Amino acid sequence: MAPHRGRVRGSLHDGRGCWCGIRRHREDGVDVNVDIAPIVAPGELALSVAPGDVTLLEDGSTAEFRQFTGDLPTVSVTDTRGEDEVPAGAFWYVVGTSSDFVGDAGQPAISAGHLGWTPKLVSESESGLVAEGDPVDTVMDGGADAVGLVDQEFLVSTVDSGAVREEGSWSAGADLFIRTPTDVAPGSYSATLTLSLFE
Amino acid sequence: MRRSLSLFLCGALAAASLTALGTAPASATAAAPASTATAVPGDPLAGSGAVDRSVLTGAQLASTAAPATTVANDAFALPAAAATPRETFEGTLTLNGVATSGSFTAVKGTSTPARKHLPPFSVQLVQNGSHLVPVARGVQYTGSPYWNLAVGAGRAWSENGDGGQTRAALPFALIERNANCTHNGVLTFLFTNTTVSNVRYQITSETCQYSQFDLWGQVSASYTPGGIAEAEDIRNAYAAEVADRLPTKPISALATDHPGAGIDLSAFGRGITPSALSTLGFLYEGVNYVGDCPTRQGAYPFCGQMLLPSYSTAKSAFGGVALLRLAQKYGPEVAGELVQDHVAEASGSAWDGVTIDHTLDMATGNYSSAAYQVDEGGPKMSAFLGGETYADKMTAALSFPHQAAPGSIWTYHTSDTFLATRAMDDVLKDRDGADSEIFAMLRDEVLKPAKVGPDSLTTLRTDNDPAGAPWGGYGMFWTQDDIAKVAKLLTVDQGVAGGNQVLHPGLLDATLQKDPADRGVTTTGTIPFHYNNGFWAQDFTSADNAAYTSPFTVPFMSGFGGITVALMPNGSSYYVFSDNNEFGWRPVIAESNKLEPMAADEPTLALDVTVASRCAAGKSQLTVNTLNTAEAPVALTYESDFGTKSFANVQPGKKAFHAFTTRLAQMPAGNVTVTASAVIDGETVTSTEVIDYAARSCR
Repeated sequence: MAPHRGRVRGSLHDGRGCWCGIRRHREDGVDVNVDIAPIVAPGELALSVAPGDVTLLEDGSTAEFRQFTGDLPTVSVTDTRGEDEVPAGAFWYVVGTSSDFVGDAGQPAISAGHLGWTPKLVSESESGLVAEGDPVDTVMDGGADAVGLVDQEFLVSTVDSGAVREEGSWSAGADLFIRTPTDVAPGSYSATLTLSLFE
Repeated sequence: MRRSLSLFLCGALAAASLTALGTAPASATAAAPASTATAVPGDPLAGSGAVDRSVLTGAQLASTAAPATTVANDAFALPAAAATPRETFEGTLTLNGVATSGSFTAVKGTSTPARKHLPPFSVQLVQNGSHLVPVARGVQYTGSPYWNLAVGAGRAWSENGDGGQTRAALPFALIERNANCTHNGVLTFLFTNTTVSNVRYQITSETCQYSQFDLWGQVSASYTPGGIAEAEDIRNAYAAEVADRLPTKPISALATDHPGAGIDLSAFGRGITPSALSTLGFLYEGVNYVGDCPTRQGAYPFCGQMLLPSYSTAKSAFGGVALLRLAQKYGPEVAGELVQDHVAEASGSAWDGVTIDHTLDMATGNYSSAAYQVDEGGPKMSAFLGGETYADKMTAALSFPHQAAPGSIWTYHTSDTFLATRAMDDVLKDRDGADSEIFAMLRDEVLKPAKVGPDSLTTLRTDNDPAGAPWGGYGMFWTQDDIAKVAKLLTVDQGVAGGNQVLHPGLLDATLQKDPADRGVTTTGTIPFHYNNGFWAQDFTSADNAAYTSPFTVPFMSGFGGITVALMPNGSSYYVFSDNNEFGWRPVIAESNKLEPMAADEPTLALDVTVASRCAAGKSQLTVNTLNTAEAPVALTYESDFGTKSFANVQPGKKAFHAFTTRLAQMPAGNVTVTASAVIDGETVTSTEVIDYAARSCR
């Protein structure tokens, strides 16, 4: 059987409207294998994603479902603002959401609800004030979190931007997993997982 | 003609012909071998014999007129100037004509005429120095329809005014037949090697809630010297018994022994009507601080020997402790043995699944009324208590209908402890053989190694017969020394007696509420208590007394009429015996807490926890942020309705923040449980806090 692959591409968007105000952190996602380090202007809160696609490989399938796993490229948040540049009471957070997985040969799409993740902090936060998001299960699982990366799901957040500002940078990742029914149509599928930084 | 030699060599010597004052001749003279028994501590007496006596003089004892009234009890007491006894009593003392003699005044309750007399009264006594010791100790079945008898150890001494006769005085108790009510008396007489005067006796106090009276008289007596083969053994045993008593001081010494503590002595006995108090005491650091034994005629002269009924303290000290002993011998699984496997009469389906543990916890599920103590005061229990035969007690014990699953509801029945004791007896016979017996096991393997004295080594039994079945739920007896020793065995000695672990330590911990996983059942009623293996327990917090800075639990025994034995977790114990239905003991806890705190203020985990909520991405997030202000790394767990998050190792001074995804735009109010654990000073310390949070709307 041919291996099943899902392709996830990281890209950056500006945040959508929220009551707390919007910081736009714009960078173009690049699909070629070249490292372009983000240029962080002095005094900015910025998000960057380690370059590269993610390919999920079959692992851990059971009689009930097929499972494919992989690692989210490391997501980094940096804050180079001065103390007085951080709004009081503000807290930054990174959310992720995925599109459906589209097949390469007209197969029915695998909805984003089949993609779950387990966020993890990559860098130890000295202050302990940066928290990884709660695990998100797929629609194939049970429980309140079995929704998949459909809505905005938290990857990482802080209690208070000002309290952690001095640390300067933080990294998080996630174990990604797709769970599908065993009769899923074989082929290559790809989706776009969008990560957004808000404050 | 020889006179009595010094105590070490004294025995029944040749008869001395002394001034006879109405004394009856002995029926035989036996020359016993000289005694080499161990002296009782405190002997020989050093007094001159110059006693100034006006009450119960030799002349008054010689009178054949019935005494008009009772007299002050100190006329029966060993006087300060008492001299070494000139003679030695060894033989049988019999009081004559008791069935028709004696005067009676009721203080409470009524009595039929036949009840107003002593039962047949004949005792064998031996003497060691100035101590007069009955051969038979503990309750003796007399065959009287009304009274059984216990005679305690008394004194023998000489006074110059007694014309060469030796004076004797003994404590005794009348025990209501088929009941635990105990009426305390004293008797006195003069004797020589061959003669004995009239005996004056009087009963002026009791521990009995419903029947209280004075009974007194003076009767002639007979003295049959000799006939006690084991006399020397008894003398030696008594010397050892006295040497083994706990160091004893008056209760007032508690304040002088611990002057800095600010002890308020009025707390001891507070809440008990003084005329209803039989005695009290406080065990602390191995010393038995004892109160007096007040009577209607002053202090009881043999307070240390005064016999006290156990009533339901037996549920703890017999029912519960027997289980602890069996568990130590055969494993704690014995508590799970089914009553119906061991009590042939408990054959109905009402007993399906009912274990010995359920029964000792008063939770068989078989009852008439679930309300607090209603069954105990009801007709079925009256039938149990009133029945004397094994068959009658067993029938009544099995008469409660099945209503609930075993272990589910507490309904107090003295009859349940009777059943549990029968079951434990059979468990013991299965393993130790048909000759074993459950009370004998308690006596020989627990009480005797704990040095409990012979006055407390018998129990009341069915059929008014020493071969009957022990009652289990009541029917034992104590003295001040013996109850203090039982308390000490259970608390500071942790079930170790004679150098051996005699009680199962884990089950003992549970019984004393030290095992959070086994607290027994909760009683019904306005103040909930714990009840485990026949022991009660009450929780105390700072709401009871601001000085109780950490909460603690006090296990206790409780007996009908006003008997409490409180086993405090700081190692002290308080016992009070009274009979006006007053159960005051809690003020003593506060005083004892001044000596030593009940609960060590454990190193607490001082953590700074903030629980809050916020809106992010259109939904509520529940945030928990903890600052580790302790001096050691902590492991933290946050439990919420939205998941659980753990941090294995948060360093001192560091924080642990988590944001729970709620998926709710409208989050209701709720709470988060934060559990922390750390190793501080080598001990694992845990804390649990439940923190509320308000609702959050993110629309």
